[in-house]
Amino acid sequence: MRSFCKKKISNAIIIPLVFLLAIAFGVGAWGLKSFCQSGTIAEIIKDGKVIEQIPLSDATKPITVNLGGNVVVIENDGVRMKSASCHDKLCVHQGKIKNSLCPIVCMPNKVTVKIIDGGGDVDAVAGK
Amino acid sequence: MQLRANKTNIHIVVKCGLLACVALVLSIVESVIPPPVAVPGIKLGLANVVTLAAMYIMGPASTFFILLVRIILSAVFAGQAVSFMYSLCGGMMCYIATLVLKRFFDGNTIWTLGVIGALCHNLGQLMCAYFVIGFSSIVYYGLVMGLCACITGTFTGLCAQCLINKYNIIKGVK
Repeated sequence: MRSFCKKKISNAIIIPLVFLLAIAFGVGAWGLKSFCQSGTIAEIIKDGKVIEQIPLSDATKPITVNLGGNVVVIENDGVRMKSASCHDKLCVHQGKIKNSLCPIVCMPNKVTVKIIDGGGDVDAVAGK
Repeated sequence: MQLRANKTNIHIVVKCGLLACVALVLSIVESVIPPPVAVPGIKLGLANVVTLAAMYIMGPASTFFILLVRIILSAVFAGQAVSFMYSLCGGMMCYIATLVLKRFFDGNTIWTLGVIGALCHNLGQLMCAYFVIGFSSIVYYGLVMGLCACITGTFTGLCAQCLINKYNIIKGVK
């Protein structure tokens, strides 16, 4: 068995490598997050079609959008999914999103909620 | 594997069935545990323990069937066609990576395959997710998932390592 595996990799090499990798991922994610500017328009997409585009500045008090299954709440500083009819509720657990980095996606009901930048439509095109 | 139904083949089939069952139960149990962080799609990946252990105990061919049965049946229980696509992409990536890199690790370094498997699983899922949420989100999401994969992969890898080493002691291998 030993002679079959010529190149042995020992734990002394692997542990620091995995550790460094984890740190690299963490720093990368944190860096990207701090670089990202916040968007201004909340966009709700269902079945691939844009249903609503509401500027966050319009939401002086929370706006509730009912999609039949999913309830989206748009607030002054972000968007969150209030409730969903699916069983895992991942989109509800995600909480409030404030920028375009990580949109809320409800896979079972095919609903996507994201925040887009008012000026450039790059993100909207890429996400389509 | 031969097609003739001799005693050895029946043993293999029964073992495969049992392992597929264990994997399925683990993936269902896992879906009940609430996610510890508020990032969608982050989970422990307990079913990968079975895939990894089967790779050493049963061999690549049987592992492939165990994986396939687990993915199809867990999609049936979860009841979502979308999650089936995600699992399939992720599972296959994980399988290929484990198969290729398996010979570099044994004994007390098997846990590395858990980390690599988890990372490749996420890579497969992200390729699938690219069509849903677009590229700009993928990068950030991928970094967060990569970090989580390092942690959860270490855990599941260690589980599989203990299992394989205990099995080898019982079987008297090496």
